[in-house]
Amino acid sequence: MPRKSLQTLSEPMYYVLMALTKELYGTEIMNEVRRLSGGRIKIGPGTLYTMLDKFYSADLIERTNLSLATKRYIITEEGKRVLKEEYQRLNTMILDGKNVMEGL
Amino acid sequence: MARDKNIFKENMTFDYTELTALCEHLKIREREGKRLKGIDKHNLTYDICEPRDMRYSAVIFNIDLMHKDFIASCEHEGWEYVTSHNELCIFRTKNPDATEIMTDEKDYFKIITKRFLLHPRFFGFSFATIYAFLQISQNMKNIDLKFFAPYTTDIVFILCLFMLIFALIVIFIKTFEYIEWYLKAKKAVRKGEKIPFLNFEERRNKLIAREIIYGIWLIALYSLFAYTFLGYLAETDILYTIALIPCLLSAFAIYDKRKKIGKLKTLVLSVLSIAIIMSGTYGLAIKFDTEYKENTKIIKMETIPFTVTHFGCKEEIKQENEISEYEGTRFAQFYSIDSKCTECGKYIHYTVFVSNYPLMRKNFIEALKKENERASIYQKENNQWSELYQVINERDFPDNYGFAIKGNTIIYLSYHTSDVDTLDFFDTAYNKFFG
Repeated sequence: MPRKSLQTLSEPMYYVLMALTKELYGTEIMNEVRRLSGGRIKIGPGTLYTMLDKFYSADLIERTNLSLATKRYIITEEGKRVLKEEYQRLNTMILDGKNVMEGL
Repeated sequence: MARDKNIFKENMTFDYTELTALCEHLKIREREGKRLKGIDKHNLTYDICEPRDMRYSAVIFNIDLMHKDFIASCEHEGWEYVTSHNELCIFRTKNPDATEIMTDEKDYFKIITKRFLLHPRFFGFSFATIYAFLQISQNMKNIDLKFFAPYTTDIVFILCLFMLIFALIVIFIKTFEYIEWYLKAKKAVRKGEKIPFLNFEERRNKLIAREIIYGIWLIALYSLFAYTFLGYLAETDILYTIALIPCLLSAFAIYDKRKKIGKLKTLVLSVLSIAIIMSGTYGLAIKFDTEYKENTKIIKMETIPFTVTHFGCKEEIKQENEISEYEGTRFAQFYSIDSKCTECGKYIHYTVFVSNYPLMRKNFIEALKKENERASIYQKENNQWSELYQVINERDFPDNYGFAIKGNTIIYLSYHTSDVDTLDFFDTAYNKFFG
């Protein structure tokens, strides 16, 4: 069954949404993603801001501190729901594969 | 390329599928002491500076997102924002290991594809050109290109048609190149690999292939232009054939310099050089009348098409038949033929005038009509004959004249006899001549 856009998150998207469970701005988001992934995921600024624009349009995140020069972002309730769904989906895949993988 | 002290400019010839090649090019320029300052539709502008080893990144990016935070994030990663034009943005860094500006290949591929498809300049021009070509091609079958030679307005039409064809060639080449890149990029992204923008070497090979195609078109353009401009003369006159050589040499010379002189000057020089060489050749050909072989399309008239024997005289009776007064020029041929029966005195004289140029034929007919002004009109427009005249004279029977036109040929016939019906005579002559 085809999924709607952003219903399934790519790896960078997943980590960015996770990072935005805290209020952060651009550079902090990149650093947080690196930390959460143990240095495995590196997001370029161009990819990050394209992603943030998409998330913002889909109401997954919101901007805060609009009066300040630097914009900060934080996840919304809708964003939390999508993040949880993705976490459940990944977890289900791991559990489904557990028996098979242990037998290999 | 224009130089102005500390500024250096060159043509911007890279497209969206050649971003890697663009970055490599900018890196080389930086090492030469030319630092990119700005970019616009046509040019890359550089400042002259100390040579440095820098890494460049050219990305297609939504400029609505190009705000201070984004620039700050780039600087945090070590990237310095240089310049942008539309959605093409250029960054540079000293750090060879700096994280790329765009790291999600799948997403980036979608962005580029969307930007390319929405590019109004390319696709708007493409559709307009294809539409115009379809409209013109609807009428092409009605146009006889052979007869364009003396007509200036039609030469302009031919030039416009060739430029249209060139535009179509450019569009098809660019579209083919884009489709080829798109399929490769899609495959790479599916495999999780980086988007394969053309690098320096690949771009150079692509440009060589393009140059071969454009070169072939240029040769075709010069050859076809010479042929259509000169019509049949180009087939029959060695001087025009030889004139193609300087045309082609100048074409290659201009083509070789086109990157330095720019597209507009290339076009202007190309048109000027064709005009000058062909005008000079035309002038020389007229002066020296350099026809090198007979024009087989004009009737040679080695044999007389009809004689008095076709009008009642017996073969065995001695006749006098001869072709006299042949004149051939660049634009027309003129034969005068006499056939006379020595027994009964029947006499036929006719003139054949052949020219590919309607103006020449018109002038000849006007001259004929003027010559026969004194004659009474016998009958006008009798089937094939345009005019028939009869002149009453002091001899036993009148002189009858008539002229008929078919294609390039005018036959002017006069006969002096009373024992053949006039209309039958002319019809017989027409059938004998034109077959």
